[in-house]
Amino acid sequence: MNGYVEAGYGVVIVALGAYGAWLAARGSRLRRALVPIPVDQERPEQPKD
Amino acid sequence: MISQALAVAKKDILIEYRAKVALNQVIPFALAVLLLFGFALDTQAKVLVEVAPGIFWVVVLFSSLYLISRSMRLERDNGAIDGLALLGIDPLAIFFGKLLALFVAMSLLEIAVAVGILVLFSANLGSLALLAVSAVVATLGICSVGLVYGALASGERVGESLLPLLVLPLLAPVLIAATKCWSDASASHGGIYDPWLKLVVLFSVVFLVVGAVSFGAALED
Amino acid sequence: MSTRVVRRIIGLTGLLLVVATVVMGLFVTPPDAVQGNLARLLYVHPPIAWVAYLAYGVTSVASALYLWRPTRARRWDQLAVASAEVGVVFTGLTLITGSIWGRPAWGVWWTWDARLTTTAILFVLYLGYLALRRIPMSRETRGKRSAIAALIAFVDVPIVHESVVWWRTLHQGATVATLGTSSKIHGIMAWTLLLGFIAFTVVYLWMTMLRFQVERMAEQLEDQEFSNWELERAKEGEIRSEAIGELLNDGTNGRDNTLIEDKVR
Repeated sequence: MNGYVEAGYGVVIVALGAYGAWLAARGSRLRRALVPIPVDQERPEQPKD
Repeated sequence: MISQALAVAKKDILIEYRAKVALNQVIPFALAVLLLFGFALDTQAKVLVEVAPGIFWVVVLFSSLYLISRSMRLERDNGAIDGLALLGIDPLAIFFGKLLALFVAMSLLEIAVAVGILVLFSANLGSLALLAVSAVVATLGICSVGLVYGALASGERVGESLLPLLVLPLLAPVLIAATKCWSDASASHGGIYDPWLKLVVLFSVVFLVVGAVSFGAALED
Repeated sequence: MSTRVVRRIIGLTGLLLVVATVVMGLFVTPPDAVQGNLARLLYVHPPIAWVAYLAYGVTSVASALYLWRPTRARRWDQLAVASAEVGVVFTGLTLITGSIWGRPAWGVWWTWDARLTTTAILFVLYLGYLALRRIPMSRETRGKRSAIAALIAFVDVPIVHESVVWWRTLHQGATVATLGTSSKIHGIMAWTLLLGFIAFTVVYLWMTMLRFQVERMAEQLEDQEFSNWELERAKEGEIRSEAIGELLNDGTNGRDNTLIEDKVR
C-alpha cells in the first residue's frame, strides 16, 4: 500500500483506543471512589462477565 | 415594552458616554490593528485594496468582542441584572435595549475602522447603499449572537476569555457574506439585490429570533 | 449492574466489528479502479464523519429535551455532554483522516472545500461547547446554558454549510467533494462500507454510554463529598453548641467571650 492508508487506519485505531481506554480508566476510578467498603464486610462483589 | 427597551438602551448609552470605553479603548485598538495589518502585508497597495473588505470585518469582529463582553459585564457587576429583574423589566426588553446600545457603539467602531481603511489602504467604497445596508444588518446579527453568548459565558472570570472561542466560529457565515458584500460593492457591480446580502439578512434574522427567544433563559441562573 | 453488562457486550461487539472492518478494508477488498489502495480510506472516513454528525444530533435532541421543562432531567444534560465529547473526538478524526486522504488524492493537506470547512467550524464550535461546560457554575445553570449553546450551534451549522458552499462554488468550478464516492462502488466494497458504518456507530454507542456513566458517577461523587462535608459541618456545629451550652450552664452567662472561644476550640 502507500503509507497514507496505513496512517489513516492507524490514527483512527490509536485515537479511538486511547479515548476508550481513558474513559474506561475514568469510569473505574470513579466507581472505586463511589463504592463504599463496609468494615465488617468484604469488598462488594464486582460482577464478572 | 418598547419604552422599557429604550430605557435600558439609554442606560447603557449613558454609561458608555460617561466611561467612553469604546471611544478611548476599543476604537484605538482597532486602528492599531489596522496599522499592524499594513505592516504585515508590507504596504503593497494592490494587496491592501484587495483584502480591505476582509480586514475590515475581521478587525470589527475582534474589536466587537471587547464591546460585547463589556456590555454583559455591566449587568453582571454588582448584580445589576438582578436589579433590572426586580424592576419587573421583560427580558425581551433588556435584550433589545442592550442590542440597541451595543449597535450604536458598534456603528461608531465600524465608521472609525472604515475611515481608517479608506485612508490607510486607499480602498474605494463603490456602492455605498449596499455597504451601508450590509453593515447595518450584519452588525445586528453580530450583536445578537454576542449578547446571548455574553450572557451564557458571563458570571465568572474564566467566562470572558471563553467568549471569542464561542462567538467567532458562529460568526463565520456573516464574515464570509459581509466581506463578499463589500467586495461586490467596491467592484461597483453589486446593487442592493446582491445575493450575499440575502445571506447576511438570513443570518441576522435567524439570530435575532434565536437571541430574543433564548436571552431570557440565558440570563436566569 | 445490568446496564454495565449490556455496555460491555456493546463494547465487545464494536471492537469485533471494527477489527472486521479493518481486515476487510485493508486485506480482503480489492483496490479501487480509480484510486487504487487509497480508496481503502473509504471504509473509515465516511463512517467516522457520519458518527460525528450523529453525535451532534443526539446532543441537540438531548439539549432540547433538557431545556423543555416537562422533560427536564439530569440525564438529558449528561447525555448531551457525553455525546458532544464523543462527537468532538470523531470530528477530530474526520478532519485527520480527511487530510490524510486529501494529501495524496488532491496534493494538499487541506482545501477550502465546503464540507471540510463546515466540519472544521463544527469542531471548533463544539470545543467551545465543552469549554463552556468547564466554567464553574451551579449544575442547573450549566445545564441550561450549555443546552442553549448546543442548540445555537445546531442552528448555525446549516447556515455555515450554505454560506461555505456558496462561497466556494462562486469561485471554483465543481470541487473535489464527490471524489471517491463518485466511482461506482459495488459488491464487497459496498458491504465493507456498510460494515464500517455499523462498526463505528456501535463504537459510538459504547463510548457515549460509558461517558454518560462517567458523568453520572462524577456527579454522584460530587454529591457524596458535599453531603459528607455537610455532615462534618453539622457534627462540628453540634459540638460547638454543646460546648456553649455547657459554658452557659457554668454560670458564666457568656460574659467572658474569650473563655467560650477557647473552650469551643
